[in-house]
Amino acid sequence: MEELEITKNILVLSGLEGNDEITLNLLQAWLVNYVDLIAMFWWVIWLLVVLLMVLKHVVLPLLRKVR
Amino acid sequence: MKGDTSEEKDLLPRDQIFTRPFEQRFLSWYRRVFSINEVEESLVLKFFFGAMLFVFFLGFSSWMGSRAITLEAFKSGSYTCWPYFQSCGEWYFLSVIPYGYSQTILYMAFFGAMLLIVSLMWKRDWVLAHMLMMILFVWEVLLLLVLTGGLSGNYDYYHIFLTFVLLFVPYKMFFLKLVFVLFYFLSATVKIDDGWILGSYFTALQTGLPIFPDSVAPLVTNMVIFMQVIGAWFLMSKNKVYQRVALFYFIVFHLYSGILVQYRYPATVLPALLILFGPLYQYTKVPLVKKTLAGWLLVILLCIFQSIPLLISGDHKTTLEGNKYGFYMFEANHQCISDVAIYNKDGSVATSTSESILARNRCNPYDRWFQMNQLCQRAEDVEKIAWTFDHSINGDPFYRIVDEENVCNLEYKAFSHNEWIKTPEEGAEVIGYPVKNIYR
Repeated sequence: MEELEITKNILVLSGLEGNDEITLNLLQAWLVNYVDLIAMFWWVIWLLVVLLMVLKHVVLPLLRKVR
Repeated sequence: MKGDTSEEKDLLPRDQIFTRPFEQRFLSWYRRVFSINEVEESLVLKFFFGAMLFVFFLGFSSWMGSRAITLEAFKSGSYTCWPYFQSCGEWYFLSVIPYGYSQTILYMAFFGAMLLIVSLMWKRDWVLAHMLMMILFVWEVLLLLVLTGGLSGNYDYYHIFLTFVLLFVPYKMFFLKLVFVLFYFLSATVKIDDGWILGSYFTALQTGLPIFPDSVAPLVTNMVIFMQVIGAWFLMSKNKVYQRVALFYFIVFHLYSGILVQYRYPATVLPALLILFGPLYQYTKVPLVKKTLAGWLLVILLCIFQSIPLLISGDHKTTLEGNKYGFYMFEANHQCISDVAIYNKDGSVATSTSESILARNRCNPYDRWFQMNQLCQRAEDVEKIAWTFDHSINGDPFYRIVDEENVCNLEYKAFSHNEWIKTPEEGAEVIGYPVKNIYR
């Protein structure tokens, strides 16, 4: 523990004296291994929503109109 | 009935003031070009007009006493321009109390215009009300997007784009709804990263997430991402149940986020949300006619603006490059340390350190660079300015993202990565670890 404090240089900016060190809670500690995967998941969903909205409400109605 | 209508028309202030044929022709052309009939015919748009006027009042009352675009700010070098217009200070012409009255005179003229708009709305003269609101709008855009980079908040983007649609875009009802939902959808793009997926933005605060325990922070933050990516679209749904559930969520969301951001943000967003999607909500079909081109172009432009920070290489939450070109609310929890050493020609050295502990203060290296660059250009006795800038986001380590011998040799590129701002991937060195900070 002492060794960790020596190697980890904690910078306490003025105004933050006495505040807690930052640690991950249980759920975060588990999720942190999957952050990239979850980010990719959200991006895929985001793009799918764009595709769905554009296709359903713009492209297909326009095609129907042309026909 | 016909008699009533013409009598009512005669009573319109514009018909009493502007009686010449060419004036009447201009007014009717103006009414047609800006589709003002849509406002005249819709109670929702009338309410919305009032809501946008209220937000003008909120904004102008906070900018009235600001030094941001005054001659005094320019003379003292204490102003900030947008990266895309770095010479903005040369255009300043106002003075504020106690140095002069011009700014407060201008804002009192705007106040008079606001009163007049209320009176015109009361008398149902939406053409003259529109003209006066356009003056307020032009000033807001000029101020926030041209003259200073230091005044705008994310809520101002809401107001600028919603007012733009209300004033200029045909099919106002549909595009107001779409643009509003798009705000949420685009805002989600800044949340897809560690700070929101882990909820570390909030758990890095000493006070943690409001109301909820920190242990469930990731659940709350991922729920927000879900609702902004998917749930927001149900605000425009035909299905009343889905629509009401989405509306209820976003009302609660804004009331909840107000615990942190306080009144200004919810006062801008909630009236618009309630007017467009509240008790008066009716499903609006997607219009696909030529006249909607302006609206669709705006939608595309919004998407382009939002993509700028994502297209600039490097993590823009660390570098802040392009951060404010799109929605950026709660993009990261910031802490930073800026160390400056000014070397004078007489051999003396003045050093200073400034720190920021406020999560919301963006710690943008550009802002610091801009201030020092003013000094380089103006102070003849300055030989060089050495600068280090250490930045921590979401409780991650402090990285030395700037370590420069002489700031006076640096330039800032507005739309691409500046090599002198280093990301961790580019070898920015870890210089320490933060403790929990505070939100303000």
